[in-house]
Amino acid sequence: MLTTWRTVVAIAAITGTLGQPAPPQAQPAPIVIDAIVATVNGQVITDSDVRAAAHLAAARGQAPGDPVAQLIDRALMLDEVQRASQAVPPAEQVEARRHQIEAALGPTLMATLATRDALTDGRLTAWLRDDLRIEAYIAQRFTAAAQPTDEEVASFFVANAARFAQPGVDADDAATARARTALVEVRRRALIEAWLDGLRRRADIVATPR
Amino acid sequence: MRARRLAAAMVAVATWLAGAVAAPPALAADPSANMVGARIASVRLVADGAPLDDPSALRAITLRTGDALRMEDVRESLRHLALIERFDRVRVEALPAGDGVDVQVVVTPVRAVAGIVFTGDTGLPHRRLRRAIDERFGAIRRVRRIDDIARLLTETLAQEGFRGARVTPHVDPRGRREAILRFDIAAGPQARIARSSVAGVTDDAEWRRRLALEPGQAWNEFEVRRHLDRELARYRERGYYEIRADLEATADADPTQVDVAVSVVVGPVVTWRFEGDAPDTKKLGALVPIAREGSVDEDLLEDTQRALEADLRAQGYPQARVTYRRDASPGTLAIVFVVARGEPAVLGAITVDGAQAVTAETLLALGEVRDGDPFVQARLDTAAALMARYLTSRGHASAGVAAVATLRPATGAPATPRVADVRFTVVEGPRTSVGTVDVAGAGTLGVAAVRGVMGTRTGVPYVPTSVLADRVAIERLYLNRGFPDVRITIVPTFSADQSRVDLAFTIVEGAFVTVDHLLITGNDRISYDTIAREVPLPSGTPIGVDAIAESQRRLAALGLFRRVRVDDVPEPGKVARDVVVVVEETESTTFGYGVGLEGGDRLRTSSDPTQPSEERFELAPRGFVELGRRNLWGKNRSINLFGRASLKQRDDADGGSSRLGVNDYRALVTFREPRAFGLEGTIQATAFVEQAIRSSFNFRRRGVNAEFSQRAASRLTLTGRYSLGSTTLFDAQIPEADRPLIDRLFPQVRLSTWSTALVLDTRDDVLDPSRGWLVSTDLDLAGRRVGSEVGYVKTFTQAFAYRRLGQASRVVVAGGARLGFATGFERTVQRLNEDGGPVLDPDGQPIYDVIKDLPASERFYAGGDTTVRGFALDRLGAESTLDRNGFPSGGNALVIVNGEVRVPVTRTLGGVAFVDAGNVFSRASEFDMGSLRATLGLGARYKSPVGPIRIDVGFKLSRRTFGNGTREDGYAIHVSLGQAF
Repeated sequence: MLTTWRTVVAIAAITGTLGQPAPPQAQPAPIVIDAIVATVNGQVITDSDVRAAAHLAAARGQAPGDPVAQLIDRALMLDEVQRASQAVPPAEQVEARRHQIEAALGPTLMATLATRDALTDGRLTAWLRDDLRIEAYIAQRFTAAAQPTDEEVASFFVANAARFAQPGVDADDAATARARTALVEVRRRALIEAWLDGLRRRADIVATPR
Repeated sequence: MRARRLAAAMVAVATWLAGAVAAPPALAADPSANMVGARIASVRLVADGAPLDDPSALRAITLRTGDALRMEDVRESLRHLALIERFDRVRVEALPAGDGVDVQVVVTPVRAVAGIVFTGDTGLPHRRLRRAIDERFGAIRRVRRIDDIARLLTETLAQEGFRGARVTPHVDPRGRREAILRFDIAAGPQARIARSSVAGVTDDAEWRRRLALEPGQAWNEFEVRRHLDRELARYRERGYYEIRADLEATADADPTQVDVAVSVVVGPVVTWRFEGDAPDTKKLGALVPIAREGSVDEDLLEDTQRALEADLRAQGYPQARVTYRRDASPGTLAIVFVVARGEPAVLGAITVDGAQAVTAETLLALGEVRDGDPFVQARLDTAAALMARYLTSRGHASAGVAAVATLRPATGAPATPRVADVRFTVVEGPRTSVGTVDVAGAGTLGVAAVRGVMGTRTGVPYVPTSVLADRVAIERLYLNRGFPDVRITIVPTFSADQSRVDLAFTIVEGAFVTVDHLLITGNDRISYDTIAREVPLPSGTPIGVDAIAESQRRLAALGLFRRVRVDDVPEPGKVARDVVVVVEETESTTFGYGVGLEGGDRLRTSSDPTQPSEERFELAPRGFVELGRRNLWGKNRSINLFGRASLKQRDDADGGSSRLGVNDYRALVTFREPRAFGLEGTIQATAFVEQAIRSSFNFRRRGVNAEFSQRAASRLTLTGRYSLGSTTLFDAQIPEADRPLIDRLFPQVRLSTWSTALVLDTRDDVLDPSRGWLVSTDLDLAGRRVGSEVGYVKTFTQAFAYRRLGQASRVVVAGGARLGFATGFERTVQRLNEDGGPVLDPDGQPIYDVIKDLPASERFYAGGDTTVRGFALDRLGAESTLDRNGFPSGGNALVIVNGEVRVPVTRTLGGVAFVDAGNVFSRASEFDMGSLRATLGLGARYKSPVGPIRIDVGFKLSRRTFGNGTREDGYAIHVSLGQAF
């Protein structure tokens, strides 16, 4: 009996030790609250900006990409928008975009973003207002320039007939319109990318290695 | 057994479960979220694992002990630290500390570029590569430009034939704060010319030789283009103004073999000539720019045609016509300008119709046109515009004036100009007065403040330009009070008859913007506080454009910085703005040196017994060195060492031998500190030693000065000074018996002097003023009670004025007056013999002398290049101040008056005519304005890069004969730097 109890006590001591957590560390590692990830012509982009941008993009159903590169491009475009004195959008438009964001993220996440990433009401409103200004500027500047001629649409349609023409159905106005829309979007993106490329080359961009 | 094993297993499981339940909860997915909102226990700035003492960075951090850790403050701190551009990486970390957090701002300081090094096969000389970098980037201070530099080097090497060059940049740290930029270059083989051709010329072999395009030669595009430009310039000098050339260089698979093709279009040889009335040849260069522009295109020829016509019409040929044609033949092109001047015309009768509010005479006076003037339509149109502007300024907002000229019939008389009668037709329009002036929207500053800067009032004539000026004034008021986005609109409402206009000023103030933080960057040696003191924009004050400009001006005035920029930077999401001051410090150590030449007439003893003294023109070369150190201990303190020496003749005492040597020198060390001890003025302390050669004696002096000066008003400076020094006279030329007693008793004298000075200086330039005033008055007091061996009081006042003769004139009239009075304090001194023992009278009593003079070095002297220029140095004085040989002993009273006209002849040469007068009197009581001695003179000036170099020759109006029977020279010559006064 005594042998049994000694065995039980020994086993309990050993397993108890194994089950206990490790002793506390002498010095916990510091937690990074925020950091500069890039500067664009003197504008600062931080980790908190990256986190906020990722959530806002997700709320609008935008495809994920390189968040720092996207924020750098956004800062470059905002500089151009300021230079061009692009008009401030109506308050209703900003509010509508804001409601969309809040509905997608929910109040709990909005509160967390406000606390953790300083995405306060004021900052969110300013962010969305700038987004709308950029969108309006790009639409004004590049949509007309991207309009193709009828011949270009026709060539594009022929080269991509499988995308636009329904099998067994002759090409119709609707298919041509779809081709035109697609071609405009391709050209618009190419123009925007060329424009951004020029902005990047002329800008003073410093990205901090992660 | 089985039951035993089961019990052991159950105990083990139960124990493990207890341990697991007692373990701390798992960390949240984002640990930083737990820190936000916690109380900040401490804030540290850390670099390379150690605390960093950087005042600029510490002031940029807005996190404060005791506050809650907020992300807004974290982001603001990061933003500020980025703005000051001192760090490559910045992050904010937190560690749990009791019930709060310890915050660390961890930075990686930017490394300054200590040097640039090229290694490997560089292909080109290092200095060529370095020149390319300097031309593109200037001074390289940031390591992060290294990639841009590498790209530039690659382009430069490719341009000079190293088409396959590779440049690899490296950053080699040197210490903690510096780095060397090292570029490892593999230039590879320089491309060679495989084939070359020059098309469009007959002598293509010669062209290939001149352009360095022979097959096998190294390919250097930069050099070839330079040769090509030189060849084209040579052709253009010979009249081939239309020559053009293109260069194309291609390489096939082998990049080291380049084919070069140059195609030249030579064009014809271009000449031009005139037919008809030839214009003034002196103006051809300006009117016919064919050679200068190297072109004969239609635009240029049309411009030339118009310029020629306009020039003739401006001379009074109103019907002048110019046409041109091209006469082409093989290889040549002649441009022929056909000029028909027409008849000259002058103005005849000039009348003004329609003027009611003002007289015709008033309008004609404004127009400045008179009968007999050449008839130039452009001048009449200008006169009409001036008349209309005058009427507008009196409230006739819609006034218009037209000038119509009518040529009278020709008289037929040869060489008689036609006459044109001119009629100015005036349409005054109604005179509009200002009715009501409403100001709306000035909620913050108030309507009274806005009206205070406006000139427009009810009842004044309505002048649109004045209303616009009010708009600018209101805008400036708001811009200086923190409203950078202010918008102002003005709506005038005219009455039906246009006699009255009501003005409505509407102001949209915009956001009220204040200063948030002051951030300073670029300073290495100058302290943060020294810079911040000059920026009168504390946190919370309204942003103002004038305040920012004033900050920039004050920082530049410190003289510590090569560049200064003060910007206000908006903060995203905030109304307040940060003020960022970016400075680039000057070198803290300066070294200067120079050489010069001084020339003038000097009185010297002579070996000729019939003429014991004579004036000789002497040139004295001189040189100086200066070493300065500024920014001492981070403040605007400086210390300067200055030394100057001249090679001059030194005459031994009483006409003995004469030696040439460095007999005239000055050395001093000066410490200067503006705003010392929190005062607004400047403190300066100087220690000096000097030796100078004068006419009747030489002296050696050493001493110390301490001075405090402060700006009392805009151009007014008040100075107080204390001096302690010792002066020793030697090589006296005046016989001892003739010297003043004080000079015999005190060949060496210690002086302790208190001085005060007031200076008003409104001159536009210190070395060569053309307008303004300089007025100063000095008062010196030396007292035995403060340590001086001799006491005296001395005052000296001078005033100079400068003025241009007319607004557009470059002739400057300058005048000046100087007045000095001094008196010594009586002192009784025992007479001593050569052994230092007392001299006794016949009764055996010691003899005492009473002296009341100033020491020689403190007495007044006149004559020389800056006083009365008809006299050699120091030779002007009343008879009682000169010995029988004419050597001056100075005096206690002085008066000098000067007048000069300075006439520039060319951009660098000029001439002056002057009259100087003055005198020195032995005693102040002997002062007599009636006994001034006058001189007239002429001079030449050369505007050198360091200031005007001058030669003056002054002629005495009367000449004195000295006791030794010799007569004064009639004139004196002076050579020096700077103006005479």
